[in-house]
Amino acid sequence: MRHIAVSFALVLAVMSVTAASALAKPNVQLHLSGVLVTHSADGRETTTPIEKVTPKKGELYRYTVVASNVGTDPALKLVTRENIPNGTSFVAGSATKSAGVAIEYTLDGKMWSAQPLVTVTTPKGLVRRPADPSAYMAVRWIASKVAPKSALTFTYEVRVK
Amino acid sequence: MKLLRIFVALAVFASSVTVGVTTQSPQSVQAAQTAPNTTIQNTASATYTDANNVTYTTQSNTVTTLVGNAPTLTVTTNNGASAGTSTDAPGQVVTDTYTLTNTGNAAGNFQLTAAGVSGAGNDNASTSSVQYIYNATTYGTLALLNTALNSAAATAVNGTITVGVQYTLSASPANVPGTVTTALTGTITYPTVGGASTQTSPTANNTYSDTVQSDARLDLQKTSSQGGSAPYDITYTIKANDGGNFPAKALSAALNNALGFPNSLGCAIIVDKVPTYGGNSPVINGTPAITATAGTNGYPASGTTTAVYYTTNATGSAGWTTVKPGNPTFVAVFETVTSGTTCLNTNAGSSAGSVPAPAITLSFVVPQPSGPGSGNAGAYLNIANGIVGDNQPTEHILGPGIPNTTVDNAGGATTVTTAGEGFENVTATNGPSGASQITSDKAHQAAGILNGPTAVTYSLANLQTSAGWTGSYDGVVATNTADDFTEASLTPASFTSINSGTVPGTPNGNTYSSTATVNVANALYNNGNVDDSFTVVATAPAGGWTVQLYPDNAGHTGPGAAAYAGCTAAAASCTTTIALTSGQAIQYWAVYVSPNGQQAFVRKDASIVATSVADGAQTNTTHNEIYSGFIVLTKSVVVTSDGCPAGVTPPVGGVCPGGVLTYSVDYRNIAVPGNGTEVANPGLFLITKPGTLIVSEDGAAIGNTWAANTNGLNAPATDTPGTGGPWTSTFTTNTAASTAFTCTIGGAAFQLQAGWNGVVSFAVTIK
Repeated sequence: MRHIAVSFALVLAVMSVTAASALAKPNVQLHLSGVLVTHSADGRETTTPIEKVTPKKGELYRYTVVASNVGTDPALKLVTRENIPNGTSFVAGSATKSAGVAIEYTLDGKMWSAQPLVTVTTPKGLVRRPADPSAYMAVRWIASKVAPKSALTFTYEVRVK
Repeated sequence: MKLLRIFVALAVFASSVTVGVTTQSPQSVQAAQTAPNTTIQNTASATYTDANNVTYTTQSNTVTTLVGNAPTLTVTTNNGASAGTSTDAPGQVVTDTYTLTNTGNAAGNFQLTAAGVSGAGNDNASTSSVQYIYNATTYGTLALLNTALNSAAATAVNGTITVGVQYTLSASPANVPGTVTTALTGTITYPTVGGASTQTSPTANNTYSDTVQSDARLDLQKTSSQGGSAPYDITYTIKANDGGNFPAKALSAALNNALGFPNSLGCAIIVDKVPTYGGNSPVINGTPAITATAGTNGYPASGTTTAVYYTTNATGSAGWTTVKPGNPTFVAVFETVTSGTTCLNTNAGSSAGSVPAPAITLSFVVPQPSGPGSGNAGAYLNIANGIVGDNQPTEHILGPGIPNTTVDNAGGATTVTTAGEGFENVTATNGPSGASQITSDKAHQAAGILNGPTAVTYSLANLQTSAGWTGSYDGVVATNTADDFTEASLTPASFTSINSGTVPGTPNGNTYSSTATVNVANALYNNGNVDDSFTVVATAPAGGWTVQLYPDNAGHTGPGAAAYAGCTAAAASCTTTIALTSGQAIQYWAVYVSPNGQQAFVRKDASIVATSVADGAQTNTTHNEIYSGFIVLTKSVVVTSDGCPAGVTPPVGGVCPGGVLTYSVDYRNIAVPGNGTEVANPGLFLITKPGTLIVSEDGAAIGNTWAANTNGLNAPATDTPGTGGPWTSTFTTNTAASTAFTCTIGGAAFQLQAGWNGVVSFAVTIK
């Protein structure tokens, strides 16, 4: 917890310096948070801040990234990237979608696609088919523009392996 | 941030990755779990541009969390996550193997919170026999097993251990088919690792439902058929099948060798005790046939051969050979197993005595039995048996009528030759243990009856012989067993038979002044091959005679106390039924009573007809020839010289003084002589007792006057034997001038037989 507190202080300091020196520029700031998502028997969802739990196999975690443009100019071609944390796997379909924002995934950190394909050699030869989402190593959201003083929120979920 | 996955890219297409090249279908691989104490960090990054197309990069805060111990396990069976199953035989040692898999995220140690035999059908298993097998070591209690598990090396993630829950089924289960259930419940515990504290998983469990089925069971069905015409051979067919729930296993070579079979793995599938009759084994016609089709009805598809074996050993416990002896006591099908251990696979649908789809069939042919009783039901008792192995850890043998017999693995001990069991089972009426492997057969039924004279000396053999004698009761009809006869004579008490006839051989007797009775012994012999009853009809001579039939008395000297049913009252005829076993001969008596007024010296024919009840065509008659006196004297005189002076004519038949008269006394047995085989048995015919036929002549006796009117015998009287002669008679006072003499015909030992005759002559001179 002390480590996290120190990091947070550093982020605040950077943000204040940036705000002071780039008033005529776009300035996008990212904030990441995570929660443990559980569901009761009747389907009701409960979330617990990730800082208060010890992950166990099979548990579902939801990460939320808030990209805020605190600058005075629009931020263009905003590409927000999230790696799937080590020890977890991406939950298919969990990345939030919003108008004007494209979602892409990568299996190797190089090639990005809305639906990555893999080529598998089978007894019938090479077959191309959609990759298992649990194999995604990162997800990114591509927004064409973020107006000043506005923010975009992206979420996705992972399951502890 | 490091990559989550490393892929082997063999070829890269646009927006695609080629993964692990394999010739197998893609398989899901259980993902490795995140180890405890692993830190999960997450940071977002972004790039963007401004209106001047200047690129900026930004990064979020980092979210960090620590992965803890997450112990989980699965308990699987031979059906995976579902309950396990097995099918086991009585007496079998059953081991239900459970697989415990560490499905959590760290290495840990398993513990069992519960395990053992439970559930319905426990009476089939001995719960005290439960033990646990882990890592090739057997533990008698759960506590000991847990101690071992606790001290064992931790099981890695996705690692497994196996635990066997072992128990022994009852050799004689109360419920077959029945069920025995075992269960196992376990946990796994992870030790503390860094910030991940020790954790114990929730319990996981599984069960086995073991079905207890009967072991291999050798079912046999034996049938027989007999030809409809001579020689009436009997074909035996024995069908064998494993009607149980497990394969019939081969017996060890040592055991087979001990039984006299080849020293090889295999089974004596069919062992047939060849039927005997009178203690004798018949020949087996030709070569017995074996029918067994590979892969059909449980007969193994390969790896077996069959052959016919024989032995002359009394119990079938030794001496087996493929060379057919003359009179084998046993015939068998031995199946040699050259591959595997199975003699017969299970083939449902059979039971003891009913094998509709046999794995192996043996058939052989023997002649029908012959001799007395061979036509009776069950004359041939044929027993089939066989032995196979069961599925017990210790070698056992199974067979109809053979209890689960344990033999030692060296094959040196077996109880199959215990009396009443196994090969030598000779139970008279029932197959062993109710199995219908016993077949009763008999010879083609051939009833027969002989009715005839009785023998002079009583014995079964003599009766059997005399009943079959041939004869002609009147000397005219054909000589055969239906016209054989017995002669008897009767005379009322104190009655003197007088012949008034003058022609020898043509007597004219006086008449009875009362009734007379005579008992005639006869023989009845069942010479057929089947026990039978006979209708016996006795008919008295015509003219007021009566007849009754009696059984023999204890001494065989006369009629018993009570007449046969149907013959209890004197009547002109009577009918009774006499039961005789095949080969049995009896003596019985016909009691005839002549009427008052019966003339002497008359032969009366009385028949007795015996007819088989089983076969009315089988009938035989005997005749009793009853004489009202059989020794007839006919006296005549001839004037040898009339003694009259010349010129004097004597009266007709008369003489003058000095005349000589010659008297002749014809004596003869008027009974019909024997013929056929009866000739050799003169005792059957009317015959004088030795030395008792004495012709007496007394010139002064009542009716005689020649003593007073003559000078006595001119010369000693003579006896001139006729038919049946010569013989030499003895005389007393037979001298010249004697007025009386006796002549013992033939001497003291002589018997005048039927048809024999002679003449005693003497001459006297009239004073």
